[in-house]
Amino acid sequence: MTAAEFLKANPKVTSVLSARDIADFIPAGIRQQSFYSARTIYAHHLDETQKDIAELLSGKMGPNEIRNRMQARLEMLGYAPDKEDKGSIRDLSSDIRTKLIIDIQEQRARGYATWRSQQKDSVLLVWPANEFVRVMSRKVPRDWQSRWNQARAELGESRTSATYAITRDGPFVALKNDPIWMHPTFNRFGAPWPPFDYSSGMGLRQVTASKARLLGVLKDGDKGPTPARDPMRQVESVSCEGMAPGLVKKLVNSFGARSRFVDQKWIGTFGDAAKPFENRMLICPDESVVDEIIDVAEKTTSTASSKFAFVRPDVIGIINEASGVQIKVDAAFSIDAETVRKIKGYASSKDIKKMSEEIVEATNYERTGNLVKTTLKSGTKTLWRINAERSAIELVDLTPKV
Amino acid sequence: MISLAVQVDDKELKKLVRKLPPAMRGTAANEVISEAAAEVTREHLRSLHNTRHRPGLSKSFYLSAADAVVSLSDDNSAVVDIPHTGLALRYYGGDVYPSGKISLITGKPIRHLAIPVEGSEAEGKTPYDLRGSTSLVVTKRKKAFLVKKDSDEEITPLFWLVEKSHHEADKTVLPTDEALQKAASEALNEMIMEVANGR
Repeated sequence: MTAAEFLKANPKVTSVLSARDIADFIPAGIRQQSFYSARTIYAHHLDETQKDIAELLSGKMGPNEIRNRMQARLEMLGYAPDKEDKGSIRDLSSDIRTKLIIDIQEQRARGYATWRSQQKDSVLLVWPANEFVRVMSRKVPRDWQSRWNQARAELGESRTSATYAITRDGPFVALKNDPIWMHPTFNRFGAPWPPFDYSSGMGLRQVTASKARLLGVLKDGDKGPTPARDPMRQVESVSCEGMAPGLVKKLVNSFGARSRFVDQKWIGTFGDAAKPFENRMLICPDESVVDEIIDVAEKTTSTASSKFAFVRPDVIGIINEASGVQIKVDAAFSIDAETVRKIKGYASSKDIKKMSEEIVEATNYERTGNLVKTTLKSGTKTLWRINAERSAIELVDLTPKV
Repeated sequence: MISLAVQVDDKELKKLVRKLPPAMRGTAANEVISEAAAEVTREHLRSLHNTRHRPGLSKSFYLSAADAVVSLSDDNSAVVDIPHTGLALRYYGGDVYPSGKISLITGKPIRHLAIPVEGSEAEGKTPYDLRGSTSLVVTKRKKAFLVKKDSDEEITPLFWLVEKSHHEADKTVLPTDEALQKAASEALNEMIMEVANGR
């Protein structure tokens, strides 16, 4: 996935919350996967800004042009900042604010693309670690030494490979998939790629295996890190405790069929009576995982699978009856490489992709034996056999197209 | 967007690749070669930031370009992609013409480029940023510029308006082929050592 594709895949979330409120009330799991800007309620504006920044990421538009387009759009929408906010970071149309939005979104998407391209066995073999380094000077640099050492202490030495930072300049070195990179004390945003804070002037440099060994980050006999899956390629479960019901509803709606609110989900362990239930929001990966699975099915012999959307609550009963197993409200549609290979006999990759995308918006479901007939928005009728062995629905059978 | 291809059929690199286990000689070796080239390109662009970035401009062209560097590879090739506006222009040189897009100020197609006058407050800004405080002035020699009126008699030029701008090619914005090959060799040696270490 390129930087531009990463950005486009992020749902837009409009919100009246300030940056601090967003950090306090919107869990990192949601922040990582959405395109938002503090105190921005203009959905169309966010949409157009996201498109423009995607053009920037493809090398087709410059940051000044995007900034001016943002300002012109806000003017047309009749936006006017409060008198005391004019020109400040709270003014949506100010230079400082528009630049910050473009910079952060650009760095986030670029950071992801670089991180993704380095999550390969061969690359991790040669460069198993990263060093956090200053790439641009700042008048008042943040105290990264304290943040790093505190995060390291909170993790405990046995759970991190991170070096102890002796000076303000580090060394800040850790294995690439070490938890310190996502630790909230160190990383304001929570993704394993930069940026780790607003306008920090910091970046990452890869560290070779021999240097990592010298620093004690890679121990003799250690195999080193293995490729990590994208955080947004897993079903994310985040707590909604303390969030206003209106905000939860808005967030769930922003992610559409990819999200589900689960009232009082069991999160406790047996014997732990303190807080066994919690309201949670679940977020599935987006539909682009279907492309990845089709690609894997065509080019490899892997059995990779991925979830991409939730079963609609009003059809769970039909699905449960057909499958004979109790599918939970948080069960998601899944697609796997083996299934794709099976159905490739009578359906093209394009068909599989289209149907996978549309099934989450199917207009009705009917049950016939253990087959579920689905009428899609496009009018296509499909048959899906429910796999009773798992609590997930698989694309295992599909009627040949006439 | 600009791409750099590393010569994977280079004699020295091929010699090193042959020292790897057979399963690592194709895509895996090329992944390491392209990532080594990407890393040296990032470092090169970061060092250009240190020498060429003009203080006062908040956005660093070269640091943004460094962030845009990604490696791409397959069985037969190792490539570095840099999807960053302006880098290809600096590398290859060429003429830049107005986009013809609709101006946010006049509502008409853009027919001139606005080049900020060096040392003026227009540096790092666009005519849109300074709208309302600029006036168009055309000299007898038909040179056009946007100016700020300081008083009835004094003006400060902010932007030159030109029909095109020419840029000389500057091959130093990217690392040399030799630097890419050297980085690739070092990375392959590291790979050979790590395989020997049993990783």
